[in-house]
Amino acid sequence: MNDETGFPESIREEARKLQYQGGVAMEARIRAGVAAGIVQPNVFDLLARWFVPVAAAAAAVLLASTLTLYSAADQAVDPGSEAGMMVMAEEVFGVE
Amino acid sequence: MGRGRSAPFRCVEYRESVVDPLEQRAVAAVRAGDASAYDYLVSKYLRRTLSIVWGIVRNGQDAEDLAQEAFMKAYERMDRFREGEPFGPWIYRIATNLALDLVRHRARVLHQPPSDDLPAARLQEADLPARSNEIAQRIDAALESLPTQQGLVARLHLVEELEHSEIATITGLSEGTVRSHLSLARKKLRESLRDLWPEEKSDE
Repeated sequence: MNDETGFPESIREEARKLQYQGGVAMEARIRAGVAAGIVQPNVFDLLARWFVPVAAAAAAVLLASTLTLYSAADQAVDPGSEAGMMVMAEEVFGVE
Repeated sequence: MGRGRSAPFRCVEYRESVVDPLEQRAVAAVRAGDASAYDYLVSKYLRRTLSIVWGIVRNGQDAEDLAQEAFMKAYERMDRFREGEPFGPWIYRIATNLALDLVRHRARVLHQPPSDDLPAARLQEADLPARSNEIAQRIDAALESLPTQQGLVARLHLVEELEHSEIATITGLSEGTVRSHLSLARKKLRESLRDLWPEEKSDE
């Protein structure tokens, strides 16, 4: 007897034997693996997840501001430059 | 996740296209945050998921890894699952996609472009199910010789005994295309299994 797509029952019956059965041990491993993989995070995990990106962002901002301040201070008065000499002359000799 | 608690769900045999009320309860519980309820869904669909995946990757270890990955992925995407629909075809689809990705990856690594016309010869490395006999192995070889999409559809129909609508959901094809693939597969299988195929009064 054929099914609606014309496959004979004898072929279907043999084909069913090709269903793969991993066995009890394999199934237990998969179930345990899935259960371990979907463990819900506790409060500390959630806090850690929240804290890490915030701390990274804060560190980046701090680093950027330090570099900016350092660079600005460095460029403010260069004693070797003409502007620097003028400032020094003004301060030491009262030259305007 | 309360793994020590006894799960309030027990497996009951249901045709997978019919929505099982316990399954609906489990899905609702998982979505509400009760991860322990997910074990009911894993228990119910694990065997067939493994079998479907094995049919594609033909290797027990890969099938085990992929089945586990599929269930974890399904859990992560539970908010996208449409409540009221059977969970089976959905998890089978996720697992099938993962398995097809692995086969494509293997093909790339082996520098063999994936082709729908030239199925990879993977019979030598396949650890065939213990129950299979010589005839079943010939059917397996014939299924493997089919083009990828046809072979997948024929295997889901013949080996896994899934309905056309379920195969359509799993493969992302329309039911009409599934029927068309099955019709073509039947012609080719009848040719390669001529001596096993019973006489038919009218075939066409």
